[in-house]
Amino acid sequence: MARLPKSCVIGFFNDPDQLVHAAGEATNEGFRNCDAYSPYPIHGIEEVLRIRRSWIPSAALTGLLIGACLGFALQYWTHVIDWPINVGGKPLNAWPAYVVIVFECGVLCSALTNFLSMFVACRLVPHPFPDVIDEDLTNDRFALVIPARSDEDESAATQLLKRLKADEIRKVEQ
Amino acid sequence: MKRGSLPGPGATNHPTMAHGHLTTVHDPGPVSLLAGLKPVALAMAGGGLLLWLAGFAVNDALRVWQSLLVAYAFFLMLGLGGVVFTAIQYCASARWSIAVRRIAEGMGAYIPVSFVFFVIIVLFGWGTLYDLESPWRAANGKGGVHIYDGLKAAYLSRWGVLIKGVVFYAIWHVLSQKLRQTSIAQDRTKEAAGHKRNVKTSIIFLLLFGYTFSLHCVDMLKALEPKWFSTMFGVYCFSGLFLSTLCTLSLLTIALRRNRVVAEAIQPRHMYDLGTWIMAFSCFMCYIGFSQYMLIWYANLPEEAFYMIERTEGGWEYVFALLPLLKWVIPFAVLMPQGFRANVRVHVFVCVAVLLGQWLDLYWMVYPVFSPAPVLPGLPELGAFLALLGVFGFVLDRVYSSHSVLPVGDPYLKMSVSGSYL
Repeated sequence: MARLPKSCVIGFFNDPDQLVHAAGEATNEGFRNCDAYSPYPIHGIEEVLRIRRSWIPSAALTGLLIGACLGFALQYWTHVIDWPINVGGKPLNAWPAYVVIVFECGVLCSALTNFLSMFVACRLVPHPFPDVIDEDLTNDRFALVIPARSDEDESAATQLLKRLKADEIRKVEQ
Repeated sequence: MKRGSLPGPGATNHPTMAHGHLTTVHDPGPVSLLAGLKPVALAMAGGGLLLWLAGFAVNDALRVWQSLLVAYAFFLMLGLGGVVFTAIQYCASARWSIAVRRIAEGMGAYIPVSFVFFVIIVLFGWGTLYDLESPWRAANGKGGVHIYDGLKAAYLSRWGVLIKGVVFYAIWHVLSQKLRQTSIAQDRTKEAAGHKRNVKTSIIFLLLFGYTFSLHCVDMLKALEPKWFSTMFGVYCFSGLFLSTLCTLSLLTIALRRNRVVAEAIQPRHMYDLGTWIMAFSCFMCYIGFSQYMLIWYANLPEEAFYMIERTEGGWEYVFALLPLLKWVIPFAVLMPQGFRANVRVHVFVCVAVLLGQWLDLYWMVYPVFSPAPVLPGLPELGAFLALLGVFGFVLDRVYSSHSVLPVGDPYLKMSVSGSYL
């Protein structure tokens, strides 16, 4: 759950198909940056809302590469530079033995980057508590959030949600 | 690209079929895999056979038998792999794969044909490939050593391998036929019970397959180096089998999707899922290959290490380096972007690379036994591969032309096609 926009109109629905339909209509009417809330993932809603691909995968990849390099550097430094020991006649820089640790460090850093950047992407930093719009959104309700910057926007969004037979329409000003 | 999609204006350009839009699955009936190319396949089989036979006059007998062994193992793994894939799908109650299941099932029809090549290798190629007293072994410093006796000698003797082979092939053939026949009978009867019976058959098949396939690989591939020890060998062969099978399945699916009705049922979403499997099992292959190498490298025991030393020296290290490139780096990196995983051209590129890697892998297992430096693949290798490829293609063409290429009687086919399992 990301942070709500400063002012917006929220339409509530009881059915996921209604939500998807409404999301499509709103996007087609020209409303930008709409968001949908649902108790469970709805396949395909991203395309309907035209949500762009998140930057989180790129951040995770960067984390992976940095972690893997650090993992290798740590082993290289301990085995070759700081405390060289001949183990079983193998070369000091015995990279096959490093692979597992490099992999694990990469995975660890990637997962942590992934986790932390999710908070940033959802604008939950520095205040990590999402706005609770409605408690039923975790149970059996679906919501479409249409940002409204002006009064015209707001009335158009309300009109649209009325036409789409939204169960309840709520205006939010922060 | 996200899997599946919901009806909505934003999704109109999406290549995957929307949920619930498709309520009827049309029966494409039998589809010819090769169509007009059937004479080409036959010519390939015949020409390949001639090329291979010419090897006896031009090249060494050893090389000719090695080339047949590599091609034999390559295609046996594909035939068996189709059945393994089918059985796993049954056991896992997988729904996505039912649309492509008939294609995988059909690959099992190659197993009895492979038996012919098995018998040929054991009866005529034995003295060359496996005989410990052969002049080729002596020339390579591996002859004249009594490395096993008593039971082990009998177990790895020509007759021991032949008898085991007959039993293994019987198990594979009977169970794969049972899976196929039940599924084909379902086309007419539409009875749901067939699916349940096949789940049981699949469990039995997978249990037996694990043992029989490992043992067969030991008999045919590992017995070339009877002094070598590796507890990873069976699973190494299996990972190659599964990865190459997925790639072949993807290529066959692409070929059969040229038929419009088939393409309606087997959608980009299924290609996407196959791509995901290829990517996943390329990681598995790399993991198993590295595990085998690393443990041998690390422990450095003479009875294990000599195998890797032979195969990473004298030029073989280049072949060795190609294996992770072709079987892991290419499939993993190329299939990483979601948008590429349903793309037909990307699939063809990746699958061809992986299958080339699989051939090289077998070549890298078999050839260094007798040659300290790589033997550049030439006419015998090409001949044996083309001959078996032609036969494999011909067998599959016959299979796909004899019944519907979709399991139209399966109660869950609609689910697979509509994507309602998502």
